[in-house]
Amino acid sequence: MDIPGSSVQRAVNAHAHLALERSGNTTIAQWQAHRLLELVQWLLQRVPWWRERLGPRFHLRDWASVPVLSRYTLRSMVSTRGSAAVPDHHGAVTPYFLAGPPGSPARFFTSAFSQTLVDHAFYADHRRQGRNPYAIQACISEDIPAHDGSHISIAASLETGTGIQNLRAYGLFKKAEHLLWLGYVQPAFLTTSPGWLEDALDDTHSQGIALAEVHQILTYGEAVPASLRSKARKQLGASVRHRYTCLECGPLAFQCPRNDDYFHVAVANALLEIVADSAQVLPEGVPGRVLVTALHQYATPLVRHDIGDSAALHSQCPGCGLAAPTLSQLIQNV
Amino acid sequence: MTNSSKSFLDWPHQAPSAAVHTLADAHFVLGLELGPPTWWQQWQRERLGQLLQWLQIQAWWQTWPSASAGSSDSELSGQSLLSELPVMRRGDFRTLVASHAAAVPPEHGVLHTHQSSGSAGVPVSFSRSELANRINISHYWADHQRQRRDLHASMAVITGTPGEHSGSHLEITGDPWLHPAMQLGRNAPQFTMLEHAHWLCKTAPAYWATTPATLSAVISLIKLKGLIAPRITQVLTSSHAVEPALRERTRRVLGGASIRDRYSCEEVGPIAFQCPESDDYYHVAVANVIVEITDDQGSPVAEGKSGNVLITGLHQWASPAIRYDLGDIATGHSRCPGCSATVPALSKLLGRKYFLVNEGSGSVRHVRLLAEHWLACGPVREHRVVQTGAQSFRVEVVMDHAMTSSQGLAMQAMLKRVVGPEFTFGLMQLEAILWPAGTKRQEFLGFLP
Repeated sequence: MDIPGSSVQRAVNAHAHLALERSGNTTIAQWQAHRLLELVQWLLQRVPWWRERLGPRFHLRDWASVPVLSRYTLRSMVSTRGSAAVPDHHGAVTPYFLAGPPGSPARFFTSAFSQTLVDHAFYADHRRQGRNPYAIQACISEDIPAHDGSHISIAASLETGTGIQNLRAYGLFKKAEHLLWLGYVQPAFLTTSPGWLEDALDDTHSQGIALAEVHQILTYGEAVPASLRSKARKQLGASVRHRYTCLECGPLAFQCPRNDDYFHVAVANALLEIVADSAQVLPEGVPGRVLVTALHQYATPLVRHDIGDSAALHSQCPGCGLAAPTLSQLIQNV
Repeated sequence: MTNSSKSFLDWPHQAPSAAVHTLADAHFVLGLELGPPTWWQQWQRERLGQLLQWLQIQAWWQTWPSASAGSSDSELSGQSLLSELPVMRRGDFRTLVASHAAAVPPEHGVLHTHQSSGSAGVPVSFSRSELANRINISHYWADHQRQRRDLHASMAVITGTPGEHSGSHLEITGDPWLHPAMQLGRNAPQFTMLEHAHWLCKTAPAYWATTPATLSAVISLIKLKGLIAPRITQVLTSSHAVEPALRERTRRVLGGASIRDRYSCEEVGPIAFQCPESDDYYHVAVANVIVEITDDQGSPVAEGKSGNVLITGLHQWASPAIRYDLGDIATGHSRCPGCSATVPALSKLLGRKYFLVNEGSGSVRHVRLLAEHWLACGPVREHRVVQTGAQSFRVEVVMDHAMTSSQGLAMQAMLKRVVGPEFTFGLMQLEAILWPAGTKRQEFLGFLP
């Protein structure tokens, strides 16, 4: 079978993301320690400002002493230093800009290698949530560039492992028009942000508009309120599957496929810690600040990065019993 | 990104080459199945063209006179319609394979010899390349994804495949990439059905791979002997048709277990996999075979009508099976009515139901004894017809309760109607049929090969 190389990589990486998540806490910890060691050794050897931050004799056993990286520090670090050196196999480095929370616009860099792993982590969520990745998908988002006609259509592709994708920019149509458009393209899945969707559903409800059925709604950005889940079920017959992400790192946790309240940490992409304001690690189940360490993000290293969200951490998912780090009580400060 | 170590710790820098092959193949197999139909259609056309060209180079058509007589050289170079080729019967396949040295392009790897079990009455030796073998294995692995199995959960296998072993079972060490949980393999013929039942109850695996006949016998014994039945998630079956009554009994006895059947043949490998959303439909393994449903003349039957199953193995170049008549009957659908996937699907899969009887005048006739023939007579769970003389048969049946006289009479009438009025049938109701050792259970044992 002549299978494109990128397709092979997608198959392997998506499988690995899920296999690691299901491999138990010991294997997860062991694998994360390997990645962390690689990252730290690289930073000590090749990134002077991180060597300075960690200390030249830093050892992983001193992990808890690594200072928390605030958004402000990260922003200053990137603006003054630019991209950090990356290993050769990471490929090209690309700059990205993000709006961030009000008043904190920033940029960051990411490598082709890191971006591929992030893409494949999202792809793996199709299997986690029982979705057919080749089904028709729709995306209504502020990130979609302005377009002519009703939407941008991307053909199904064996290489990307996806079905037809129909993309539509927020600002070009009224909310109710967007939701009525779903009846035209009949997607199995819709990707959008929770706040926008709730407003749009309220709009169509108040106008008495009946909507076509969608199997799942994939959300990103702010956390999903229970009210939205209820409206999505009633008006679209859809179940909401939230992805907890941050732009600089990619996926941080994916909603448990069996429970709306819990999120399986994206263990193959990030190490998450929950700490008190004093930066002390909190016991299991106690909510606190979320610190992110991005395991493949070398161009803009994120080590114990405080992204401004809060959650509680569990070693086993209370929703489905999976023995893997899981978040609950997630509050996203987008 | 490949290496020979199975360790998971090296990913994303390295992954074991065997896992990479399996994962890539499985990704492709499911992509063809779930993507737009133009994908598998175009892909099958290209593979068939390559296969036919190879057979042309290897002068296979000279060995198969009916094919070479019916088609010109240009047609056989990949442009011909499959339906223009003659149907390959089992006898044709055996003659062709025996009279032609197996050869494959170097990229297909080395050849290994296999033998079919002869459940259709004609055992056949054939060759298979490493490539064809790898693709077969990948198809079965892809079915784990299709059926959403958690391979971190335990799996027991009771078939003829795990070789003979000491102790109660063979421990097949887990592979962190493809089969993280240990698999417990048990050689079916080595133990009695009651021993299998006890072992299964004690082991309580999440998944159990076996044949429908073993499954039927084991769940009967679990119930009959009052054993504490395990809660099994899925039972993976193969080798024989699965009847709806067996699905229901399995659900009832094994804590809601759902049967997920795989339709295959030894010569070509997987043919179709049960739809993950419906017990009634099977998705054709379009990345491995072309399936046609035809009448007895080899012409396609209308969609939704039953007919003979002809298969063309797209990777089986060493011992090619082209429009190979398996002796099975099924109904074809251009898309799966169970889940709406745009992949061809099969239903009413009645399995291999041919057997041969000598009509006395020296002529031999195929007979089809179907599940519905038995079930119309009574609640028959297992059956075996054994020829004991030129015109006599012993008929062994296992039923849910004692056979009534009207059921016995109905069975006699059915057998005379289907097999022939010139034969006599001695009915025996048994608690369990004493199946002989072997990978497959033959429901008919005749004098003819």
